[in-house]
Amino acid sequence: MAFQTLNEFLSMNGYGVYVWSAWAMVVGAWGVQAVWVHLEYRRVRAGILRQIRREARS
Amino acid sequence: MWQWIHKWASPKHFYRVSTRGAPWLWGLALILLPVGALWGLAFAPADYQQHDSFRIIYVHVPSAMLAESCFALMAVCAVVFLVWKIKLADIVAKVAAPFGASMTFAALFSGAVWGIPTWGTWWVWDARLTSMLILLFLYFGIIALRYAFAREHSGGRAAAVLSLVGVVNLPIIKYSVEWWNTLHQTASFSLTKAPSMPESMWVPLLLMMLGAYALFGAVVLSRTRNEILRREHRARWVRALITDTCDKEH
Repeated sequence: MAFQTLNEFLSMNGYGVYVWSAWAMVVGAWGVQAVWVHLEYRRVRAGILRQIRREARS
Repeated sequence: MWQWIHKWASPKHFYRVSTRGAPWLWGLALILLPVGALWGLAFAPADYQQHDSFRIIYVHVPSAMLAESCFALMAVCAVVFLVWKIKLADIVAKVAAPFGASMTFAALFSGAVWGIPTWGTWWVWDARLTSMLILLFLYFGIIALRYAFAREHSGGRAAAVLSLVGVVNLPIIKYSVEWWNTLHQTASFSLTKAPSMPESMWVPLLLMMLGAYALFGAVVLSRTRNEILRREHRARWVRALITDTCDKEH
């Protein structure tokens, strides 16, 4: 461990604002991409299912 | 050889063979990134000059690296699409662009935030930062150009041409810190030299970089699969596959 206390870790010895905002930006971008992939799959799948049903009716 | 390439590049075949690969890449990213993050944030020793602000390196370097790799991938896809007219290459280029743009923005943002305590400024017009900003605008241009055409194929071709034009920016970004006198430091990692930092600092960085590549692969592969389904939605195999997933749920 590079830190003695949790408080030291959270404040990054005074650099907390910089370290955590940079990390939040990059990890957030990764998270958004990962969630997007799964939402996109569900949307594409729902679209194809709708079309199959529509064609079955007509 | 040609037949093999065309068979492999056929959307149906690619979809089938990549079914198993995608979960592995997601899993790899899900292991490497948290381990690298915990190690880099809590266990790596503080830098003797930059203290704990240096921990930004563990997200700044991987995002900048992905921003450039993603553009390189798009340029390769552009050649394959323009010369051999392989549709799969266009799909990969299309789904990679938003990822690359977000990584370029993330690299610029994390760099700017890092600059405040380290350089005393969040932005300077030095060669590295400026060429990276140009990369971001190139990404925006490529994404916008694709949607500026009514026909999907024409948009893909235009985007491919712009990616090939923009690829000259990649060596400029890479060597900007050597060709010009920049505020940005030179590469601290290289394949030919020993790392300029102790093991306890570079191992977590390596984990983050590998994890970031795994995530990049996972996102691009999974979105390529989504896009294949969308474009081939009339094909019988897609219909069969989708109804199959529906049956499994009920």
